[in-house]
Amino acid sequence: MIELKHISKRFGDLVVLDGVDFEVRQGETVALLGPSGVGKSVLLKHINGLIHPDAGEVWVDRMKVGALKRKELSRLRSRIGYVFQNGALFDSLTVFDNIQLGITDEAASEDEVYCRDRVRQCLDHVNLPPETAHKYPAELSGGMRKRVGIARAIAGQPTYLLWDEPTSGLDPVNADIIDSLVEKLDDELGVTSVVVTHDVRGAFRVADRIALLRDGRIRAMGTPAELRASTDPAVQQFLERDLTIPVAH
Amino acid sequence: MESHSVTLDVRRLVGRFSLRSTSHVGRVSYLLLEMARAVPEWRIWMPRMFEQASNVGYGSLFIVGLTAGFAGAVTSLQAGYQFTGSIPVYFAAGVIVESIILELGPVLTALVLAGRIGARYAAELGTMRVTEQIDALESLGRSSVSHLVLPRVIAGTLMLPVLVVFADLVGIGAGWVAAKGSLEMTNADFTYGAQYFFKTWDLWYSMIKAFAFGLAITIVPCYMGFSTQQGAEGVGRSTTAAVVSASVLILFLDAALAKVLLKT
Amino acid sequence: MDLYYKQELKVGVIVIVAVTVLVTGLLWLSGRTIGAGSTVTVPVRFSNVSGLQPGDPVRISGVKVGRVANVVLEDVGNVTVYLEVSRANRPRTDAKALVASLDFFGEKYVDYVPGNASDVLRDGQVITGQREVAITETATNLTSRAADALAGVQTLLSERTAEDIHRTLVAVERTLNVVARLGEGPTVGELRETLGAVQRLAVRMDSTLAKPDIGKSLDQVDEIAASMKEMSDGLGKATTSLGSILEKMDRGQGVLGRAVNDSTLHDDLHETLVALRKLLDDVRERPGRYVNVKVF
Ligand SMILES: Nc1ncnc2c1ncn2[C@@H]1O[C@H](COP(=O)(O)OP(=O)(O)OP(=O)(O)O)[C@@H](O)[C@H]1O
Ligand SMILES: [Mg+2]
Repeated sequence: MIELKHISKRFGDLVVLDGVDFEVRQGETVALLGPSGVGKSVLLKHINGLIHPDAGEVWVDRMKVGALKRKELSRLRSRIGYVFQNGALFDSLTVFDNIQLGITDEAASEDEVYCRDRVRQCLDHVNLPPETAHKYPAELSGGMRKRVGIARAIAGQPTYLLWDEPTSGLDPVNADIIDSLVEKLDDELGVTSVVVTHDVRGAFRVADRIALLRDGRIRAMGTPAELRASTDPAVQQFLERDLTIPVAH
Repeated sequence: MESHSVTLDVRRLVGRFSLRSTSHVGRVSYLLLEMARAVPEWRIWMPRMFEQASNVGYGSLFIVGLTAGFAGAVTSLQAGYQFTGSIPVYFAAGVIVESIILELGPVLTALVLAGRIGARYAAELGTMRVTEQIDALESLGRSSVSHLVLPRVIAGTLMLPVLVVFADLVGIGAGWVAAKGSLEMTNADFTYGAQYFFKTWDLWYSMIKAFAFGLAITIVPCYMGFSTQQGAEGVGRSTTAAVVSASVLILFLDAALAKVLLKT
Repeated sequence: MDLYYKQELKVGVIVIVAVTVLVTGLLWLSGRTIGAGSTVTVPVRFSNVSGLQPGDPVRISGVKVGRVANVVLEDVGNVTVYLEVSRANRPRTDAKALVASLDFFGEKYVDYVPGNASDVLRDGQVITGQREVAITETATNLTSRAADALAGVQTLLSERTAEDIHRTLVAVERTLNVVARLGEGPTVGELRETLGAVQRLAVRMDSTLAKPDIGKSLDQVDEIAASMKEMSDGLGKATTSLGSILEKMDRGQGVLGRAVNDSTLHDDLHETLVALRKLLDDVRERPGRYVNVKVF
């Protein structure tokens, strides 16, 4: 369970989050929508403590993230997979080493056989060939990098996954594969996910609930059906463009 | 309070400057604390440390040797130029050996390495910061201090004394050769002069200096790299800041250590 | 893992090389040789070390055999100097040490004589060292003593007078010792001869004066006469060789001639010679005056 209680965050004079209340139940997948630059990534980074709020509290698994000791925070983080918007791969390491660093369990990460198997498995999940393992991030395309980032995030078998635009920059086939992966992790392993996305159609497909971030607050939050039924013009405006396309087909 | 020329308000500038310096001190102390805490995680930093150490050690041999060699030869030539007439030649040997061991060896090596590895560390960590690699490491529950900072700091601090020994060796050797050529000094003269002025403490002092400089030229750039902001320009800025402040710190430590440790 | 191992090896190599260089350099610069077990530390007590410092060389007959390990001021007029010499040169019961000047910059060294007695000193046994008396100082003392002795001869002969003569001879011996250190070549031979003569003379005088019952036995008059003869012969020889040395110095011959730039030494030696000649003449002419002291 993830709870954000009245989070405020500003960078200098720019107020990004202004009293955000946000809750993700155990095993649920929540899609977070919002215009570019509204603070979705910032919100996501609050969840695993990469950014500290100016005001408000973040609770994960009934633990207050800001009050955790070094060791406890590190243990919590190893259970939260984070897919970075730009991949954030370690560029001095091969794909193999990148994914191996994602295996957060200490005993497992020292078992070479397990690591090799797990890396191949994760690459397979994101539809990358095993040969990719020996390449460096600089030798990969943007979409491949993004998928290696996803493979790294899931390698440690986390119970929470924070996805920052996992499908942007991917072709429709691979975007579908990633969406399926989100669904599969949710259904089979009971992973709790927050998916930041601009792909409204994907969001409607994978999410149990959808939240819309606007002007530093959660403007609306509910099941896809509830959101579609919303009369809020801001919500309608945001959903309209994308959702009208499949209707037109 | 309204002020017409905000940017030129001295009180405000001083206030901002001291605030910023104080917060630097605070954050460096925090980094030091984190480093101390990460020391028990040797299984993580040890292998990375060896990688860094072999890079720093072998990669710097040439430039350190070159610098020390020239410094030794020039000291020797200038000593010969100044010590003419009534002063016996072996004095020059003492001057060459002592100035290399006490000052030129450690300080030149540290300054060269501040440029070489200080810049490198700041740029590496700065790039990792702006491309979110450090965040990525943290997000995996891994300590960026024990993965990135500690290996670099320990490698540099371990390797600097090694390189200073090398610099002393090359510097004295070059000084010796130059002295034989230009001062008509015999090997016996050189040995005699070197031993005449030498105290055992001098070499330990040189090593203590190297150790302190090693800490300075690794911790400062790592800190600068860690606090990088704003993309490629930010990386450039923190690299420059790292080299400049590490060099200034070396000179400052040089003076401070001389004051504290050289009581005659 | 293989990769890490290789890095560790490389780092290990460079660190070991550096430590080796450091230790070797330290030993070289502090003038020590490897293998501490092969040296012994000899404590020497001096009343004055004239600025001797740790690290200064220890020499035997001008050959460096060790270094001064430490100089400890125990008290006013009591300085313990620890010499570090190889075990082969460990001190015997007749070991001697002297603080001497190496050059004109006040650099000192310890002139060490391990001795040739059969018994070696046990480790840590303190030997008493001497301070080199400056050449000019010795010579001045010498002339004044010789003059005193002559004054004594001319007035009343006494035991004191005889002792004065004896002391004069010892002083001559010491001066010649110092002079011997300065020179080499043919002069040394002559000096050695002179020294031998003076030494024998001194021994003779000692034994003559030491006889407690000398006045009780007339039989010993002959012996005294004989010793007087020997004494005058010795003085004669010493005078002659001293004269020839001075002659050579006058002509600037040999190392000695060149070494003595200032005339102080020369003048002093000359005066000594004159004093000795007078003494010799007196002994030859009126031996009774010298023997009377004890006999009558
Ligand atoms: N470290 C930072 N320092 C200063 N400002 C920041 C920082 N991080 C984010 N911001 C600002 O916060 C705002 C929100 O950024 P954020 O990255 O969360 O946007 P986003 O909603 O993820 O947008 P996008 O969909 O384009 O990724 C932006 O205006 C950005 O300029
Ligand atoms: Mg974003």
